[in-house]
Amino acid sequence: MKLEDFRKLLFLKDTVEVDPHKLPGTLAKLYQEHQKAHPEEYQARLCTHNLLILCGSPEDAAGLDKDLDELMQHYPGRTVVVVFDSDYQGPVQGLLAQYTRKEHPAGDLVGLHFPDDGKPLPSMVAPLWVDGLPMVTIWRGHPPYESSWFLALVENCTRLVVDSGVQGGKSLEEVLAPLLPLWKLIHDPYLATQAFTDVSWARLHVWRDWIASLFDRPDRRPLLKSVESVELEGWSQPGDTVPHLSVLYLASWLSHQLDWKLSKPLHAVPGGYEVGFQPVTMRFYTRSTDDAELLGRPVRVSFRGQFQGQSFRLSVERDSNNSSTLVLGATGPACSSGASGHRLHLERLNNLALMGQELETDRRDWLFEKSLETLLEMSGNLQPEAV
Amino acid sequence: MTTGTLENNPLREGLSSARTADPCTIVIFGASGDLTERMLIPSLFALSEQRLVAPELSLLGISRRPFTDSEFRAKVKPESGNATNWDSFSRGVFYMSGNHHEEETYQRLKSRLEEIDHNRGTQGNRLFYLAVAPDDFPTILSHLSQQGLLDPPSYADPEDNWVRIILEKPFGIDLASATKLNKDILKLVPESKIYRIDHYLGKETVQNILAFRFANTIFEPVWNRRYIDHVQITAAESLGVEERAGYYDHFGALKDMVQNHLLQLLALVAMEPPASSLDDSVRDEKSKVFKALRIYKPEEVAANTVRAQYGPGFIDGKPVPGYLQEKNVSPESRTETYAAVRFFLDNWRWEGVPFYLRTGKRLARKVTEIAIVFKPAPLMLFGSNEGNKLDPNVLVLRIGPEEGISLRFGTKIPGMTRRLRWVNMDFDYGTSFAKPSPPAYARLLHDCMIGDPTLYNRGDAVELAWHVTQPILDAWAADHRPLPTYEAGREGPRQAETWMEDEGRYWRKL
Repeated sequence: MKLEDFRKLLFLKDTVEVDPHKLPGTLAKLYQEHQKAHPEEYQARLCTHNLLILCGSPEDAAGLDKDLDELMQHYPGRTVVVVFDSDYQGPVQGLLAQYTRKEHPAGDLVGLHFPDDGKPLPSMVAPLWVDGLPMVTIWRGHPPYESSWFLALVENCTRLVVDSGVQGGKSLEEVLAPLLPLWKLIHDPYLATQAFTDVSWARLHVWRDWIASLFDRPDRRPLLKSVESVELEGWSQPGDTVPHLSVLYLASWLSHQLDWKLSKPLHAVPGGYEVGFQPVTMRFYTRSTDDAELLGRPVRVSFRGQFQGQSFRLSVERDSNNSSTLVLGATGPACSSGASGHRLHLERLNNLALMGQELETDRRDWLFEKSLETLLEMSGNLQPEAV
Repeated sequence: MTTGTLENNPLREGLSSARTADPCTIVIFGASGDLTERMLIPSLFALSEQRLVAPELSLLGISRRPFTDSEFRAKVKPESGNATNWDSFSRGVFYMSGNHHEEETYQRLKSRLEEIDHNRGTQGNRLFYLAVAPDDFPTILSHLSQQGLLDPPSYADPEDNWVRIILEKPFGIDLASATKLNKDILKLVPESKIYRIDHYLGKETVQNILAFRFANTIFEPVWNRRYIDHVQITAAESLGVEERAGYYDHFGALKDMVQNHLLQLLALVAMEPPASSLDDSVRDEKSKVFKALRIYKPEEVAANTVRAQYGPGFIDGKPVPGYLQEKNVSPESRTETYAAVRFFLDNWRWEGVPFYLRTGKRLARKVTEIAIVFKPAPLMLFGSNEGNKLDPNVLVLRIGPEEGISLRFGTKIPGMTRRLRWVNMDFDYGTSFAKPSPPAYARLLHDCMIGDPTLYNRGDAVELAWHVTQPILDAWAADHRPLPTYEAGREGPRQAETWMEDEGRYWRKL
């Protein structure tokens, strides 16, 4: 990739070429020049975070230009984007764009075009961070968990965001493969102060909220103890029956929060997959779609059971005609016609919203960690005694 | 109170959004008024889009004007929002024409509510929103009581189901009427079911006052008479009385803003840390502040207040009429459009610290803020030879229009001199958070539906606030001297400036 292509990949506004090895001095000088150019009564520097985005390949950076431009306008801070390019063997190249708000400096966006070897990276980015502010690292693509330089970057951040579901998988083993290294990282005693999350989990917020809302009504809560089966369905490519990671996270979250004890690990059954818990059976189905943006997202979650001799079914599912609309289903006791069929348009959680969500989160998400652990246990990838 | 549900719904754990409110029917008296269309429906719809109200939520508007359900839905449909979501939401919006003074209205209301409970699954949970004149509150509540509508119906679960009442301001027009109103209402409904709304308290930045004070330990040690010289609370508007002239001319700035909104802000600034945010602790602490407010004797009022009326002037470069020339204002009106009051709190923390509250219409700029002005440094080490004025540190909590917090402090100007320059450290909500603040009414309605009264006014606090403002109103009514005026578009009356200057202080520029 040439520098011009790199520029187009990340930037929508004018950039200056910078020496990647002299970035702290360059940034300080640009700030001073800005001050001289705006001799107002006072100059504030708006900055709420540091953000490092790492792309394993130029393909992983696709679409970042628009997201970054919007992000820089909404979230004042220092952002460094590193794109690893295995086809590029030259020295690291750097580009810089500055953002202002009401004449105040409100963001530096630095792009670094990197050859394949990331060893020098930690020492280049560590001096750039604005002191005392959160340091969020987002890895797009598959993180090199075993590399020492990757660990050095994680040690230097306050929050690591990965996307374990980004590459999908043809088999259950492939889908689950990225989880164990992530679990080990989370349990690394040297990383006790870092927070972690997985985009496949972060995307579930709306679904968790909807599912929780099914049981907010006081008269519905007893139904939670009477659930006998749960069906989870997710979008997939035609012919693919392997559940996507997001759907699996949803299942592990449910079983953890409802304290269901594993009786039979995740296994294939005709038409899908199944996992057994002491009171409940969970089944996973897939629904094919051509919309790449929907791949891996949940389509339907439904609960069935018997309560006081009456059967019930509570569900959240996407409208069959409009995938952006969620439909609530409720039949049985504590269910009324006023709620059943209730529709709500769902704003798609785009990359910008996801990044913003992560920038506004500053603590360890133990619910994610427990759901990850439960998922590893229910898939037979982690024995309870290892925890 | 049923605010906490984590222990009940384990799936709610760890979610950032508040819990979904129980299914209920909201009955709005005075539904054809502007408030329903402009504030209540958009707020409830926003809550519905955020899944913070149950899908069963139903709304029944009542007023004299004849509308069908579909006409009412069309009338109140918000301009923005997703069409699918509105279709779902509006299925629960109903209307009933009726005179709230007539028994027959309530008989029909009862059967309509039972029908809604049956068809929509609202379980007998009811929220009566009284957006009518305060004189009508007891009448409506009395009729509701006669029909047994102030308790959940017989088919509801008395443990889980509820009836709550929101009373729209103004809550009384003076101390006597507020006290009588409280007395009349409490004969019919216990305080625990009453939610007196003041939309100011639902504003994000107002709530942030508590977060700022009690989540940041660095400020608590200096939050007292030892370090704070005075506090200025300002609510200035550049607008005139507009369409509210008829109402405003009977109220004036003191009743319209100071007695409720500004005293609420004062209470949040001055209150002691509450023991909990989940029970009535916050409201207890606010009431203690009102109890500590010094009540002026008639002869003390003139020295501690300034009132004035705006005259003709310019706003945004355009000429505007004076108050007495406004439509629906009596040419002889003595209603103040500007009020400034100096309050003192007779308690350990604030003894001797004046709280200056000012509000006015047709002022230079729209701004609402709280300025905590600290005492100046005791010794002038810097800048004494350069004639620099030794300014104090000022912490400003901006409530509008650009919500944020700024702290002013002195820094040395680089060079061989020892001069200081004052700089601001500025936090701006708009630039620091991409997410917009929810509408104040949405927050308050949701709080009521989940049974959290923290941001609502309690009866005793309302009466206490009237206790401190009534002597001022009485003294002003007895004072027949000509009312000072100020030019529209300026900072306020000259008297207010000199009043502060006489104390060696000055108003912050608007």
